[in-house]
Amino acid sequence: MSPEFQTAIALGLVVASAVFFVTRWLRARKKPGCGGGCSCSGKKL
Amino acid sequence: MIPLSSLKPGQQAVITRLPADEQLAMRLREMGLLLGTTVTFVRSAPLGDPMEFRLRGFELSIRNADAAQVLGELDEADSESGGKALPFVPPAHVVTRSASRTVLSISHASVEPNTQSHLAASQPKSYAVVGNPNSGKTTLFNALTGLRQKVGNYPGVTVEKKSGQFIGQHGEKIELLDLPGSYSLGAHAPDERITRDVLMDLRQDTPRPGRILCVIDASHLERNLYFITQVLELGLPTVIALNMIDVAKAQGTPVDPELLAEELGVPVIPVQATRRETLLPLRLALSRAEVPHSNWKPELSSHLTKAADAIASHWPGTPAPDHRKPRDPLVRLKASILLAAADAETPNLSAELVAGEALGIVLAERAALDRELPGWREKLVTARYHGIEQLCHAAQGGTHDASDRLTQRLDDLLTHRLWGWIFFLGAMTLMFVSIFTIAQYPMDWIDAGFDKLSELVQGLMPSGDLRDLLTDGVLAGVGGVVIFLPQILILFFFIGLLEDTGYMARAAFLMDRVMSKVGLHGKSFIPLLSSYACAIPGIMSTRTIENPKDRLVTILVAPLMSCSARLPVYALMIAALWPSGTGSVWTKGALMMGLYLLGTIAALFFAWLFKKTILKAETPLFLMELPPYRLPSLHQIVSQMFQRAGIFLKRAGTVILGISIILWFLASFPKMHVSEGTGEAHEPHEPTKTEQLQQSFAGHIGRTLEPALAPLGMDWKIGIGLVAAQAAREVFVGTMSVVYNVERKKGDAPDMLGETLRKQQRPDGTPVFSPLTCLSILIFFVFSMQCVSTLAVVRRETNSFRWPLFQFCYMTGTAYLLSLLVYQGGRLIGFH
Repeated sequence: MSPEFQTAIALGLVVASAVFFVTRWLRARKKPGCGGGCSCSGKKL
Repeated sequence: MIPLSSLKPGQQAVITRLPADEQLAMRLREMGLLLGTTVTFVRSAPLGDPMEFRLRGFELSIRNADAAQVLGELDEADSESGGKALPFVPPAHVVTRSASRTVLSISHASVEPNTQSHLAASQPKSYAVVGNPNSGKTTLFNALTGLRQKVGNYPGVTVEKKSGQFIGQHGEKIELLDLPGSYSLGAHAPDERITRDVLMDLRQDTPRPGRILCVIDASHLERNLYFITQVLELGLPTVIALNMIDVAKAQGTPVDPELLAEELGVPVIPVQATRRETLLPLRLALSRAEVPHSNWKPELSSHLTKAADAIASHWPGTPAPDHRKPRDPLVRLKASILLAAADAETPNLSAELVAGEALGIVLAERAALDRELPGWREKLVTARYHGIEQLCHAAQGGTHDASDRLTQRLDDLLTHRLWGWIFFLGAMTLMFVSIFTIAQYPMDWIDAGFDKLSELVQGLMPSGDLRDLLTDGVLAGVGGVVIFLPQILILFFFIGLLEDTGYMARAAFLMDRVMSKVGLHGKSFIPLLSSYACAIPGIMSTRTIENPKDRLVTILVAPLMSCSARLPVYALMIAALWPSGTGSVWTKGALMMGLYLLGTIAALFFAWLFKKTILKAETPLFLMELPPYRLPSLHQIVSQMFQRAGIFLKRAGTVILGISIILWFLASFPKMHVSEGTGEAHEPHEPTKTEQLQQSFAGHIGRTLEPALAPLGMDWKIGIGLVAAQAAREVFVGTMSVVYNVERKKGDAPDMLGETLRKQQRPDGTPVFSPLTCLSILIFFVFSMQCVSTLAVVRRETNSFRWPLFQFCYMTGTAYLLSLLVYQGGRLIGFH
């Protein structure tokens, strides 16, 4: 695996993480709940 | 006549006068403290206030000042069995069992078929699970649904909404909605209001389930039936689970479920919620296609019936009054609740019940009752208790007042003036020392596991950014936080144990005097204690506090209690203070306990300050049941621990993973190029990790903050950690791990993070993490507000941005000032 390819994948993961946080923030604004805190899963356990 | 506050332990009194404050009087009545009721004074809390009384077979705790407003005649025939109601004599207006059923079934049969069909074959099998607090309702819900649960919130409030399902007898899904525990449909606290609103079909977001599963604690039958009979009056298909039948039997007060079923007209199924093998009959009953509704209702005097009917006939949406037809039970119950409310509560309650035009009729009917039937409020509650006493006589051979002997003996010890405090402090010490001793082994295993994984990645992949991201970002960041999972699990285990055994209520009893000194309710202690695990459930549990200002004060100070997210930071800084293998477990435990104590004292101080200034209000009413001690269900505690562990790991796998990746990027980019040298001293060379970090985005952020943080003894790398910790406190540890692993030279042996931190030096050769800096960081973390999730919950809870903003400013401002004071003060007296 060349260093350039590694850099490209690493940056892709960084962008995916940033998109994850933006989506999460937007969803939290739209959907009322308990703020996604440590006592709130909001999903089937 | 003497006030209850003047009784001596063991003395009994028959109640002759209730407080003039109608709100307090109604609360006392609904808990069973009626004129003519015999109560026994059991004991005072170790600090002299509140007082514990026994009545109707349970223990009620109230403050001395409120007890002083209740007058009674001394009952010289004191007995060990405790307070009891007057011997049951059926009042003149109580009709016989069979007659009552006949009359009532006729009345129900003529009501509109859509709400009152006797059999509910067509209704979907969805049950609302209701019952008194401590009746074993949630244990039963968990036992029935297992892991098929969904946890969310009621929109607009942070009251937990728990629903689940199980497979019925015919393979069909049966839905259960676990509603908050309640003592009365009168609903005095926000969580009780949720129960009332769902049952009365007042919530648009939660349709009223078609059926009801009532959970009754058989060992406190009389008290439980007050709320349950109110629910039965809704006229919905109902099944009753008679829980804790073993406890009732052991107490010598067995309940006959068949007789109770006959009296109430609905199935009564004996269960032991903690033993799954006893639940089959209940599952079968819940699976039935047809479930009957109850015919039970109290026999009220004609004045009261007339008043309630008059209000019901003017209820918005009710068809034109027709005296030949009985009222819809739902509207009639709403009318009765509004009629009985204290004057001060009426406007709010009327809006909540959507009473509209009926409000004027309510006020007119109250005025008429005041004239024609003095003491009508007392009679309203008494009529229900008389009906309940009749039920208890049928199903239990009478009302029983014997208290659980084990509970009494344990309370003699655990609420004792001296031993009570020794036990309380001992339990807290044990909890914090266990966090260090027991957790150390699994922590070492997790650490070794992550190191092996890191070595494996380094061995398998050629050098490059992806390898660095995986080892220095993902594994270092996530591993740095996951390592603290054992400590967090132990903390949750202890909190679960305290709740499950019933000791948490004793802690509130013990602490009420202290809480009232700062203007809070003893109940505020429970949210504060829960906040040791996490401020979010702590803030959510403030729903049991009735007064809005007290609730707000508790919400504002709850995050000062050291939550489990601070634990990794405390543990890391303590590890940085002592070289590996030095420092006794007791010293480290004492320092940890000191930090927790500091947070607690700060919470109490700010509560006092807010109650004296911005949220001025009188010290609230304290009225709390002391539940009997129970053997904790290990299954319940462990499943709750794993539920919490799952949530923690999910956070580590999502939020903390994401933050670690972004932090790695910020600490590694922009890339520095190979510098061009011109002479021997300026030979072209690969930039060092430190140079790379300094020039990175994170380095720029850290160095921008450095002038503000330097007076606290913190450098720009710690600044990066503080910025990242705004998302969640534990991220600080992952960030330190990323920042210092990025700096680690290739070939260095992986080290425990604490050791790595201790090796860090400033340009002048002094250690970065000197004892004074570690202390300054610890102080900062004790006081600062660094959890976005908590702020989001506070915003939703207070329905305003103002309070979370205020909370952030006062906490972080205090953290900065105190860290500054500690660091600069320490330097002045010669520390470094």
